[in-house]
This record gives sequence, C-alpha cells and structure tokens, in this order.
Amino acid sequence: MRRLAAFAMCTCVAFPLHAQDDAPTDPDAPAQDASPAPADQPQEPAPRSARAPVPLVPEGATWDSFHGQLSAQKYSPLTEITAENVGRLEKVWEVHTGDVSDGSGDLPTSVWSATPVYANETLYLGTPFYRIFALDPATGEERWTYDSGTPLEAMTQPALKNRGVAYWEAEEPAEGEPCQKIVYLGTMNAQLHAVDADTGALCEEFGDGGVLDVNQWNDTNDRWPLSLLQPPTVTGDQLIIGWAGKDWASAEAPPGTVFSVDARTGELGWTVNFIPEEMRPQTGTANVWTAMSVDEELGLAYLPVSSPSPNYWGGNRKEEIPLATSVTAVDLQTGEVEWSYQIVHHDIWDYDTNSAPTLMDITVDGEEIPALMQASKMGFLFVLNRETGEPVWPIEEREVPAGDIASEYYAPTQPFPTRPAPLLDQSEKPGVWWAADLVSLGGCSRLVEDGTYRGMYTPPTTDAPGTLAFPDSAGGVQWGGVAFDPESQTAIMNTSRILQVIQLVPRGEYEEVATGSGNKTGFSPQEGAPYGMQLFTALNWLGMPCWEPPYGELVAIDMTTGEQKWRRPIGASQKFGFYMPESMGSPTIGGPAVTAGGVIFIGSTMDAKVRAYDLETGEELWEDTVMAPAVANPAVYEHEGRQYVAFVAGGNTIIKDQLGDQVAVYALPEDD
Amino acid sequence: MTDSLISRMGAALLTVAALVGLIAALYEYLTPLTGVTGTLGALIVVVACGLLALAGLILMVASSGRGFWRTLTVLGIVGTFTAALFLHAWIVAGTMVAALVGVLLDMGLARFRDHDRHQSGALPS
Repeated sequence: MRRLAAFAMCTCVAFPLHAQDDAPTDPDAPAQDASPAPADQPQEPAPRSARAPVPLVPEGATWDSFHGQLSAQKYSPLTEITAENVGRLEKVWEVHTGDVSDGSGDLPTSVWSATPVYANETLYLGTPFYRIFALDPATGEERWTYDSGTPLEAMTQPALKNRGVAYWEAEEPAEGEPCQKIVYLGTMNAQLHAVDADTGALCEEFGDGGVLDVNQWNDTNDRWPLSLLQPPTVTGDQLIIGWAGKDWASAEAPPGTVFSVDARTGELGWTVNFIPEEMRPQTGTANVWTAMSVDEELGLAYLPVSSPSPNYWGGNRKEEIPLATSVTAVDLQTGEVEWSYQIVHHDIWDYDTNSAPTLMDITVDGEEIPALMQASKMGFLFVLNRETGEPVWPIEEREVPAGDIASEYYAPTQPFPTRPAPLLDQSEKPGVWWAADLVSLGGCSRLVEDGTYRGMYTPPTTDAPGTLAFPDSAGGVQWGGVAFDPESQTAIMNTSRILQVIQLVPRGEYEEVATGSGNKTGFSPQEGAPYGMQLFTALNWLGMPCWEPPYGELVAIDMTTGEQKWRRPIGASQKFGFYMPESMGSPTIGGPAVTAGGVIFIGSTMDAKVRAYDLETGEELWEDTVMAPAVANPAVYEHEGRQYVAFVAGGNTIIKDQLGDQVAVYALPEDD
Repeated sequence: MTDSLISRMGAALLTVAALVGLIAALYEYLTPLTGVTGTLGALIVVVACGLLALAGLILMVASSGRGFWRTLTVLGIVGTFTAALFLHAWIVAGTMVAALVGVLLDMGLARFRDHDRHQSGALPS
C-alpha cells in the first residue's frame, strides 16, 4: 500500500491567491498575493466559506452538478417514480441542440457526455460546440443560449467534446446585481466562461471580462492547451478545475495540475501538482480530467488522478510518482494533500483513474465508516476510509509480471483489492467467442492464442500481435462512476468486458507501419519515447468481438458486506443496426443514477436505449430508444412538484459511430 | 376458380407481403429513433423486400424456371426474416412469414396441379 499522509511537501504546491488582471476584488474573496509561494513556504489558509457545509446526502432533491451531488452518489431522494410505476414513464419533451457533427464535413466528430444540471429552476447544458443551453425543465423551452465562440477544432482530443456545465450561486445574493448565480462552461482551448444563470450574459468580474484563461498556468511542456472538457467542481465559493490533455501523443507533456479559483472572480487560490517538480520536464500529465467529489463536512476534495506520460512506456519516469494513477484527498482550503492512494504503480497501461470516487457512509461489522469507492478501468473497486485513505477491506500487494523492454522499469507488485471482488476475472485470457471465431475462420483463436498474456498487468511488448489487455483503457468502469443508494447501502455500477491488444512499435519502424488512429484506437506516436504504440480492440473482419460475452453488465454491491447483490448483462451490442441478444450485454460508457423510489436509470449502451432497472432485483422495468448512446449519467430532478429524468443522447465514437444532439426528458403521465 | 388463378394466389400473397415489408423496412430506415435509423442493416432489408416483391411478380407471370425462382425466393425470405429479427423489425419479420406462406402455397399448388395432371394423363406444362 502506498498511503501518503502528509505527502504535500514534495508534490502539493499550494499557492496563495494572486490577483487576476484588472479583476475587481470581491469583499468575500480570500486574501491575495501577487505571486505563487515556494513549495516549502507555509501556506496561509484561505478563510473557509461562511456557508454551512453541504451534507453528504443533501436533504432535498439535488442535481446541480455533473454527478448530481458533490458526493458523486448520483442519488435522488425522489419517490414519485417507483419500481412499480416506472413502466408508464413517457417522454415529455425533447430538444435537439443542433450541435452535432459526424465528421463528414469540415468539423471533427462531436462526442457529448453532459449530465444536465438542474438549478435555479432551470436545466443547464453545455454542448460540444461550446454553447450553453438554459431550458425550461418542464417543457424544454429555450430560456437563453450562450455561444462561447470557441474554434471548433480538435486541438487535444480526437473529437469536439463536452461534459456539461457547472453552477454556483451566492449564499447571500446581492439584490439587483448580476452574476449572483453563475453557469460555467469550459472549452477545448482552455477558456472558462462564466455567464449569469438568469440571462446568459458574461460575468464581467470573472477572469478577463467573463472568461478565465486557464492556459496562463500551462508553464511546463506547453505542447497543447489545458482543455476544459469536464465542468469544474463547485464547492462553497471556489471552483476546482482539472483539465484534459492529448493522450498517447508525447512523452513530455504538461504535468498534471488542479487549480482552485474564486467562483466570482476566477482568481487563483491553490494549485496541486501531481508530479514531483524535478520530474515534470521529462514526463507529464497525471492530470485530473474527470469529475471530482467533495466532502464539505470533512473539508476534503477527492481527486482521481490519471497516468503519467507517455501512457504505454515509462522509461522516462522510472522514479516513483506516488500521486499518479491515484485517488488523492486534498484540503479544500489549501490544496494540501491529506492522503493519497495509488491504484496502479508505475502505470504503463493508461489505467487513468477515470471517475470521481463515490463518497458513502457504510456500516461494516457494526462499525460506521466514512468511506469512498474508487472504481477503475481494471474492474477493481477500491474501498477506502475517506478520512484516512486506509482500505476498508484488505488490499493486497501481489507480484505482477515484468516485461522485456530494457529501457523500461516494471513495478514488482500491484494492489489487488480482496473485497468487493473484481468486476471481471482478469487472471486469465478471456474465452474465444465461437461465432466470431467461425466467421474469422479461426482468426480470433489465433489472435488470443498468440497474444502475450500472463495475467493482469502484463506489460506492453514489441512482440506481435502484442499484449492482450483485459480490460484496457475502454474497459471496467468509465467516467460515469458508481451510484450509491444510502438507504440500502447499495453501490451500483456498469462495467465493460473488452479485450484489446497493445503493441509497442520501435521508433525506427513506427513511421513505416503507422496507418493512423481513431478515437482511442490505432497508432499513436508517443513522441520522445523509443516506442510508438498500436492499440486495437480484438474484433474479427466483420466487427464481431473475438471474446466471449457478456460485454457489459450492471452490478449491485451490498456495501455492508462487499458482496455482490446481483449482476446482469446490460443492453445489446449493435453493429450495422443488427442487435445481438441482450443476454450478451453491451460495452458501456456513461453511468447510472439511483432513486429512493427503488429505480436505477441508465443509458450507456451501444443500442442507444435508456433503461430503468429495479434496484432490489436488477430486473429491467422500462426502456426507450434515443438518438445515440447516452454516454453520461442521467439527471433526476423535481420541478413544480413533478419528477423528471433527463438523458443526453450524444454518443461517443469509442463505443459506436452514432452521434446525437438530443436531450430526452421523461416523466409519469400527469394523470397518474 | 381456375388453376392459373389459384397458382397466382401464392405469388400474389408473396408480392403483397414483400411490399408491406418494404414499407415497414423503409419506416425503420427513415424514421428517427427506430433504433436502426439509417443503418446498413435496415437498408439491406429494404432492398431485400423490394427484390422479394419483384420475385413475386416473376412467379406470377413466369412459365419456366419457376423452381429456380422459388428456391431463390425462399432463401431470400429466410435471410430477410433473420435480418429483421436481429434488427428488432418485428413487422418486417411478420411479413416474411406471410411471404413464406405465399411461396409454400404456390409450391403446394404446383405439386397438387402436377400430381393431378399425372393422374389424368396430362403433360405438365
């Protein structure tokens, strides 16, 4: 175990606030300083907000952020829609934003993973064309839109991408003053736009005329902008900002940082760095590109930190980077690292920690434990005490295989949680699906047989066809994360079983063999490393998966014991329009929401359907077809006394070439 | 009812069923949110239904090679039925059942007619 209490001395650089150009000083803002403090200088804590901390489970129905609540529980206490009546759910309105591109024209493809935010009696959405929509929650009628004017270019990502907006409101709004409630939209070119939640007008006091240039803090290996695709986390009067980079492109890249800024002005508070200072020039990333969670009562933010650069070779970063591929808790006031738990040592598989840990209070053997669950691409579920970072159930360090790349370092052990059980068996190669094997005339069998595999954490190799990765970057639990029902203490998650193949390509051969890349597949250069890389999913010539189903499942875990309550295939895989049987399941991207009505809502599947399941049994209760796979979490909200469930059907080319611009909202018939 | 009229009944059923299937498949292909909108699979079924309707017309008028057309039609129906099942295009699948009945009817009538002609000493036409 690599628990890192008080690790802050070398990796956390908490800066006192410094003034933003021409930004007016807010009387409520923390003290400011014109320059960052040295890393070892004692920090002057920013005064804690006077507002009362948000409880882990808010008293009322809250869905005002990407994961619904700061705890990332994706839980709604609403009970109008129940397991008994959800079958009568009907679509009450839909909106098409028009912000979609299939890549056939001048624009790159768009992928859209926004969770609608319900706040200020309005439904807010960001789009992959970097616009904000403010909609009437009951009718979908447009109240206002805001166009950031961002160039529609794939600067860091292979597609135009957005995961929605964030919302803040003043605890004591000044009457008649604008921007007492603000909606924030990040862009791929690292600009954070702040607009008045009532009008859509820019908030002039924020940043430079309403736009904060986060790229001003991009000061090492500045190869591309710090793309703001994930909305910032709003806690108290501060915004916590992570950013996304360009995967697999370079060995040297901007090193991961998270920024805290003032919600009103955009003034920089603290910064956390995840890579030791002396190593930053030679590597990079280990950033936070996904959502975060916050426990305001404990005063901690929980940051899921990704892997360092480059993703599939680590010879340039042989020294330890303890905060990389970790879940890290930082002090909300100072950014100081309180504890960190590394879920993969010396990550050379791109096993980014890819979702916000879900905060939950659980009762284990009669003891109340403030816990969190960190899901992972590997299919492991790390359950930690969120106060201390200590495992709730034992996590064993087990020996893992080394590889044969002389310039590489291989971590001798990796952490294996003993409970809950992994979501898939990564100890052996998956079986070959006979139908795909038949169609490929044995090609699937040969691929699986020839692929290098010595269990989980088999390192990438240069040997053809490559290392079997089961699962790899597209597998396990993705950014939808884990939902949690605090009443029954049940955790719910969707997981994918995907077999991919990784091969390192020596630099001298790379240019000859590289034929291009798609969205997280194909060749990538890893410039600056001695190896480029190739990654592909194990499909036959007809696109059929070579490995045995199920390809995706929905799983419920009793968090009082860590045992699985039920698991079932979710959705149907689809190719050329043809559905495979639902017993085979579908790969999933996106995540669930759970309600006190005993219902789980989820899209996420290839077949572009949205579904409801019985929390108690896992039985499917309802489904509808939407424009594209709903690759985000749904939002559950109450407006004027009626419960609604909202899905964004935006699609993602990682899962399927079916993209959308639809917001679909469901409710029970009014006469119910 | 004359033999020729009866023999055309099966082919007519096939044609009508295939045309209804064509309309249903076009709906699946063109209408948003069917789940298979604009997909290659739905387009294949549209084309297949059109070809089956054409096959029905051929069987209605052809005086030779009917066995060949019937065999081809049955294969087409089975393939389209299977494709429709995988597309969750239940109406199209239903029309393929009706189309198959049409072909079987046509085949049965032909056998009955041939058997009757052999019994009466007439040469098969």
